[in-house]
Amino acid sequence: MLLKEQIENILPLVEKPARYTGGELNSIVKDASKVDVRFAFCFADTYEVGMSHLGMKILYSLMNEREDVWCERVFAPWIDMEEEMRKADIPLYGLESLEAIKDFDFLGFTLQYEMCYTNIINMLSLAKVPLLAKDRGEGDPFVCMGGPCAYSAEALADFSDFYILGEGEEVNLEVIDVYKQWKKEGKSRFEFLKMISAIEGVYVPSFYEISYNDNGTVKAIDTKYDFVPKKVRKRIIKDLDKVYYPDKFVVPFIEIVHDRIMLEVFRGCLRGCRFCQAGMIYRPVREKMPQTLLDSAQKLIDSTGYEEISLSSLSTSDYSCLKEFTDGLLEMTEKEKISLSLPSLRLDSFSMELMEKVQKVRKSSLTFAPEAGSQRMRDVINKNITEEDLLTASKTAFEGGYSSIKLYFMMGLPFETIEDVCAIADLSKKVVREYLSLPKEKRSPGLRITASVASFVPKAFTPFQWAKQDDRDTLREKQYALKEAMNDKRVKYNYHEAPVSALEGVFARGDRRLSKVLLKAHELGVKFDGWSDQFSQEKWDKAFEECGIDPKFYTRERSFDEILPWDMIDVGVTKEFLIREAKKAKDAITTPHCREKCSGCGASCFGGGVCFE
Amino acid sequence: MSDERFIYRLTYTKGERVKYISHLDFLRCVNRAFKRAKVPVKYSQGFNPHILLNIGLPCPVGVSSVCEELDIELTMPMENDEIIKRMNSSLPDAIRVLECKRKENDPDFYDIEYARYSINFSADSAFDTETFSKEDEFLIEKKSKRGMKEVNIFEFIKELKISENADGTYFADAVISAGNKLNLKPDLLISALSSYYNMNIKDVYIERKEIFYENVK
Repeated sequence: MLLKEQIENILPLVEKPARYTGGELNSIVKDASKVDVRFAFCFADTYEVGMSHLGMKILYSLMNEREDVWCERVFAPWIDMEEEMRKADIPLYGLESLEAIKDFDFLGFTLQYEMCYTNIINMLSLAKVPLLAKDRGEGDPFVCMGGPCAYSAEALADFSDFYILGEGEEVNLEVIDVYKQWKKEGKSRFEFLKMISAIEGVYVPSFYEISYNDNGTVKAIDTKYDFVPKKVRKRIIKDLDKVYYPDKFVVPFIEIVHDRIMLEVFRGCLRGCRFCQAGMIYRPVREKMPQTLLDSAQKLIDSTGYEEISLSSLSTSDYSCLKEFTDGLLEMTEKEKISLSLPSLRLDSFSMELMEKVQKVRKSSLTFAPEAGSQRMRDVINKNITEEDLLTASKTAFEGGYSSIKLYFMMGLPFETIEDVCAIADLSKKVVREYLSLPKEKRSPGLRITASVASFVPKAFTPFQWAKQDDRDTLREKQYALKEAMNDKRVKYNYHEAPVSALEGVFARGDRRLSKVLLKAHELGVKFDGWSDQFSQEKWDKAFEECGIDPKFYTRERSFDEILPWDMIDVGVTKEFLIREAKKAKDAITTPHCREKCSGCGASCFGGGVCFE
Repeated sequence: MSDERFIYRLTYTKGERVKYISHLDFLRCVNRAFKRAKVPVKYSQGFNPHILLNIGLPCPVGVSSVCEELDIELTMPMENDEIIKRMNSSLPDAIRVLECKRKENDPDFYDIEYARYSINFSADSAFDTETFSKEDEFLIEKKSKRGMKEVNIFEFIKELKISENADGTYFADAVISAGNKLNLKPDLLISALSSYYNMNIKDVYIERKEIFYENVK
């Protein structure tokens, strides 16, 4: 029986079968006999989550522009589908061809968050591809990994043939070119890895030997061969305005998480918040021109028929041409009868005005992210907003007809005291007071203030990469104290589950010895850790225990001179800069953003962007 | 302002690859296709203007079709062929518009009475394909607005012919109630067969072939 028919037979048995059938508008079907390279772009989460990811849209279209390459999409089947697939012995397949991906040339996984790691292993197992890189041989695909977590995904080192670091638009195609060359020459797998290790941005983990001290810390990172670079530098697109951007998106039949056109306004972030990994690893800031963005917008409106468009950048209000761009965009959205949704904006007057213009009819809720409750804490994390900024913005919003505001905070930040945590309650209540201070006839009824408090997880390549992560008990204590301090029914208080954050912290700063824990967890049936109904602390505890690894080792405080497991990776931003920032954090001294004053972070080594404005 | 309205009826297919899409998802898909096709569709008045689109008989999930119908209102007249051309270039491959004509004396979707399905399936034991059709009564559980209800399935069956295919699988040609007044989902017929003959049915492929209106030949 053909795979297609086998799939057909199990679809009536699963929820949301349209996740597994492909055939969406703008999805690309090619003649397999006429392409040289087949690439499975894998996203280790459900269809609805993965299809919302902009990076996949870009690289999918980019690779498929080439006649010799066919890139297909692969997502993690949900539990029920996996069960049916395993029962019917159906291997994981690409959504375009409905053919088994084990016969493809590349399986490329994007690492968006640590909690998807077990799904990657499960997908490899469903695909019937040897899980460990060392067990793959002739005829097996190459498994590569990219995305923001790839800079410090040592925990996946045993599973990954190679990593692609940084922005993929150029380097992916370079790897494919080398692959075609290699295939023609009929050389060994080792030879291919050797060939691509010469490409900037390609990191082959098996070419590095890691040794450890008695206390468990890294003793040395050695290269195994002469041709291996001591450090692998990430790739960036120097001129973002000229980079490829798709004029078509695959339009899903079923609703996905972000079911709309996304425009990437710029890459990088000026701000330098010290907890934020994205703010460091995507440096330097590089912008697109307003006209380029408007052209993209028009093409995507025409090709997708979407009802909504959104802007996707880290701190969108920092765009230097924001007014010109949004004026043009609003004109377009009005003409096309589509709506514009704005990402979280900064708390300045222009942003508020813009919000007012966009939300002409329906006033939904506004989201602000002060991140910390006390000014001292906001200085520690270099979040350059004041209490006054927040209260003024809240007041403007209430006057403008909003009655619902969401506030995002973190707890468990370095140098945090219980007073700092409780300040979250004070600040939230002050927002309530702003509302109440308005005369009744001037405010919309139905006040709703939500304070969402996430548990901070220190990440590699940030000034807090050496910090101790609060353990479960400490976090619970803080959560409880905050709950007590909140005592106001008008504020709804949400917090994240501590166990998941603890695990995320282990893998965010892990080393390659964790590969065996991941493998063990997989054997115990762990998957979909990011879904609270699937997460199993017990299984994880068992996995760590059986491997003889203490997770606390990875969440401890580290000294500046310790060799970090990801020290072979160069993201542009230097360790010296991160140490300077970490020291300033301790003294609660802020750092200006890139346009105010260059702080010499190191990202200027790429020779482009805001560093040369 | 003229009162003339420009309503078109489109007949289209729903192929294998889109048969698992729910009615609401399908509606959204067709909506977007009209926008992409730049057909001058008319919008409703009000705060949330929507396209004036009416889908005849929602197609059950898992069933493909060659006879779907929808009505769409435009702001101005357009050539039938032009509408077909534009829609087919903006719809996913598995949905094809076969026909388009200005709605004149065509029956309303409200008057849909029956639909013809062809059903292919395999059974785990051989059975006499004729006995079921000769019965007058066979009770099944059917969901109604007030919960599950026991009904006689033959009140919903106009024609039913089951035959064996050369490869040992089976084929059923069924005309059964469809629409607002009486409606029978084809999978209920399948489960009725399964319980009547006391056998397991699998590998079911259902396709809608034809729609019949009350008082129309």
